Amino acid sequence: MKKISLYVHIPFCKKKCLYCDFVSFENDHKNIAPYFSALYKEIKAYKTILYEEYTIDTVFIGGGTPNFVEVEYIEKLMKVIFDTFEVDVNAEISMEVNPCCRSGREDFIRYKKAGINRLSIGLQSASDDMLKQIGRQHSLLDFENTFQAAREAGFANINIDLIFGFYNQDINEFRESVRYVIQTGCEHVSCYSLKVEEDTPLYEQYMDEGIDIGDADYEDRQMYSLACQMLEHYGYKQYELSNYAKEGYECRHNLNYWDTKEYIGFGLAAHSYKDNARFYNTSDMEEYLQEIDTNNSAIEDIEQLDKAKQEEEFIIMALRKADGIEYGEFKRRFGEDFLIKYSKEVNYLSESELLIVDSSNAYLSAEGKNFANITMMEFISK
Amino acid sequence: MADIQNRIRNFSIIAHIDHGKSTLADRLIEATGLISQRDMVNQILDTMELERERGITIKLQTVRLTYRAKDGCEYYLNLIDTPGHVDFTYEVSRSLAACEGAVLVVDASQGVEAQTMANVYLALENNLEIVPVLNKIDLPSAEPERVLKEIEEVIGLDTENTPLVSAKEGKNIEDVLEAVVTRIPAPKGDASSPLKALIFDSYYDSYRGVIVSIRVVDGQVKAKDRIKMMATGKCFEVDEVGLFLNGLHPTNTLCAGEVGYLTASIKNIGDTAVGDTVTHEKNAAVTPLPGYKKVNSMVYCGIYPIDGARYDDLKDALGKLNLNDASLLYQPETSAVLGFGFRCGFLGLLHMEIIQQRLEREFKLDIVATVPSVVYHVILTDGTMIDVDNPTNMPAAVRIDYMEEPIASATMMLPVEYVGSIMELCQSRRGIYLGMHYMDETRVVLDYELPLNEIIYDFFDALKSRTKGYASLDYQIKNYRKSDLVKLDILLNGEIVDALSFIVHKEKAYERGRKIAEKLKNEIPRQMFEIPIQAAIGGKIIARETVKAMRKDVLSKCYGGDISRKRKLLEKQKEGKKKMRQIGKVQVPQEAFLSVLKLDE
Repeated sequence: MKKISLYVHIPFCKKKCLYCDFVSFENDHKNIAPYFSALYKEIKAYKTILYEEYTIDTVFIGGGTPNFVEVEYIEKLMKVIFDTFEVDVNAEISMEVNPCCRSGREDFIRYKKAGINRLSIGLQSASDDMLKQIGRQHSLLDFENTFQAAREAGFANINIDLIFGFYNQDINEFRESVRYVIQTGCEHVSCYSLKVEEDTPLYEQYMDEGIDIGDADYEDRQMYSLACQMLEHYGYKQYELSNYAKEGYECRHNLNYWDTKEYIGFGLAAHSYKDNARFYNTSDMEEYLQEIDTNNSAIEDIEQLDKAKQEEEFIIMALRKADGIEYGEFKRRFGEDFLIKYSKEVNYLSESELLIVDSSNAYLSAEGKNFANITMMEFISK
Repeated sequence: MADIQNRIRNFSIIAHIDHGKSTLADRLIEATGLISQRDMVNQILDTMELERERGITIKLQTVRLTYRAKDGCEYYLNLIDTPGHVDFTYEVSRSLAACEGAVLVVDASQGVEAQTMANVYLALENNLEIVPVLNKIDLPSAEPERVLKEIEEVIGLDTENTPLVSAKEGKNIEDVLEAVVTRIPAPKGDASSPLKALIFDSYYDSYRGVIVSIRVVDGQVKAKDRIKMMATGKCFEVDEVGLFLNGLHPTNTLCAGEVGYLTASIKNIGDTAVGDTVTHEKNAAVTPLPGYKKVNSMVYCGIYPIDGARYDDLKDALGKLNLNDASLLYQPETSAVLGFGFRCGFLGLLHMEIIQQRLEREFKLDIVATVPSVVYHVILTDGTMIDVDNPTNMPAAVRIDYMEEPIASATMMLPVEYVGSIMELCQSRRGIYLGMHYMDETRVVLDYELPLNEIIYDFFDALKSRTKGYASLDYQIKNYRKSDLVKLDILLNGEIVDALSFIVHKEKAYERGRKIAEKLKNEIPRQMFEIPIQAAIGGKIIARETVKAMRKDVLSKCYGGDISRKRKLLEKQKEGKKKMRQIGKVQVPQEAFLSVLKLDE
């Protein structure tokens, strides 16, 4: 049987953070019940498509803030998934949580019982000042309680999210945040360099204040390199541009994306990749509810990838990983020798010291990680 | 013969840009039934896409209309279209020389404009009968009485019985045709004299060679005749003569007074110079028709393919454009930063812009154009004089005794409230005030002497923006004058970018250098290293800016929902990179080259 991953989007949260551009709604209580009904329906309708051909290898419940909604909805969601598909006994089942919402010991016991075995907790910063500045709805203490409760409920695989690169952010403050995360003993750290997206309040704020975020990039890279060093020192190996894990705790679900393997996304704006086609659901709540009601499906667009595009995606996603492109895997997938086919690009990039080429893999150098887009672009044929 | 001439009228339509010349021409063609309304694409005389878009005529078109007038006779009306811009003044004057009269179209709300005046003067120089016509009388803002009064006072034309038309709505078109028949004199050539025919246009046809538009002044011409071009001295045997109906229509003979075409297997359009006189090889006319002059390029720039591999495509494209446009000059040149390209000469700025746009649109070429230059006279210490149209060729300062630059006399027409602002603009462009007079209570005509190199640096845009678009400009080269000029270089990352060098008056150099450095700073994207931008005269740096280094270009977060967006972003980034020109280590976008011309005053 083939393996596939599932993503489930929960587009609700207490309050949107100033930098967030994800599809999510603040305090949208009236849509929660209809949304979950639709979601269950959408998942069940997939039974015949995956049945007897696929086992579910990983599940990721993301948002939004999945612990913003009543625990029952998540319990029911997991039941629907288990009833509908064949879920591998060793499946990795993750859920995102934020310390602002349902995060007591009892809640976590219920999540655990429902089948969830990995948590990803949004901390972002260990400084209360910073948390306030970027619009987070919790304090460091709230996080501490959340983390504690999760451990007590038996979660042995926990990720903590950090974010850095805000304009005028103090590198000492960031160092303290990294140190704090390390001392929690969590298994996994995601550490993101801020991207100021248009249509976010933060973008507006920066525009109003005449801030060129490019001017913060020097500090941003200092923080990036600091995070790598500290985390590596304490046993968190960087296995992707923004992700670090203790040995054996790499996120299988996300690795699945970077390995350009198949996944199905359920819920508002969720993306899927199956049979060499990328497709995604509508981002409009009303439309989603209505489409699922009438068609069991809310797909907005499908893009069928030809061989060249599959290859491009394989390369750009693989380059995100510390291991980069493995020539053997490339040959298995595309029947060609990577180093021969891309000799020109590879030579140029290794001369520019952006790419490191060894006998089995090609991967980004430290400088290449700072300029990953410029490096990846060379492999785009268009 | 005289009888036939009596029934011919040769005329042009002259107008300020946008006053509706082409639309009126369309209506005349329709009204005489040459082409039915149904078959007519709007404005058939403007055949190029670019012309239609800009509402101006670049290439001449001529058409013969047959009209039965109210007196019961049938008349042959040769409508000779004229190009609609100041760059093509010479072509306009030759077209007018082929006529006995001109229909002057004036917008009933806009009134008389700078170009109206310039065209009227050209028509008067050619002794044409001018028939004024008021157009756009359907517009609510139309003030026919005021504008008629203006025509009488400003131009001094009798406006009694002036047709009031709406070309757009096809109103009173018949009045125009009647006025052409009754007011424009018939040609008075002598069909038995030796042949004298004026070339007023030509274009290249890949099957028949050059198709030459002529006005037979005296004598007659037919197929098999051996003819001679009096200015170029080239001889040919005529293959065919004919009339411009709906397309080319062969006839046996073209006689004195008639307008038509001839073909003679002519391969090179340069052999059929506009303004030249066609005569017979034997029994030739003694003197040519007056007014021929060789047209010189006024503005030069370098044109380079963004992708160096497309040099040959660019060469082919320029060759094809040149087949129909002898005034476009081009010769290969090499730039240290841009590689292989061409130095091109143009009649003026508009001509330059049109060629650049046609290269991009019709030939799908991505090009970089260098800063345009006028032709300077450089007088060396040994007393010899050289022409410099490319700053790169400017001799070392020690070898130069002095320099001269072309001076234009410029006429601007504008609403009175902007006079102060425009005088200030002209002053800042080293203009010398010549005079000013009122056209009416609201509008004035300003006369200035302006160095041509000031006009080509964005003068027209500055004029328009300072007058909310109401000013019009006309200029003519007057003479060359001694001037204190220096070569300003731009350095990127310490290297001189030859394509950005230009010659400028010494007093303006500091300010312009500073502005360009500032502009470039905003146009050049951050790159993986810091890029100093410097402006320099000789070895002396007069301005400096820095493009800060980019420290990162990475998407930190990339999960299932981000992958296709990510690929598309990279595709876009790659597209963008392809459109940039590599100068040393620096990627420079095409816009950076243009920005040097647009100084936003």
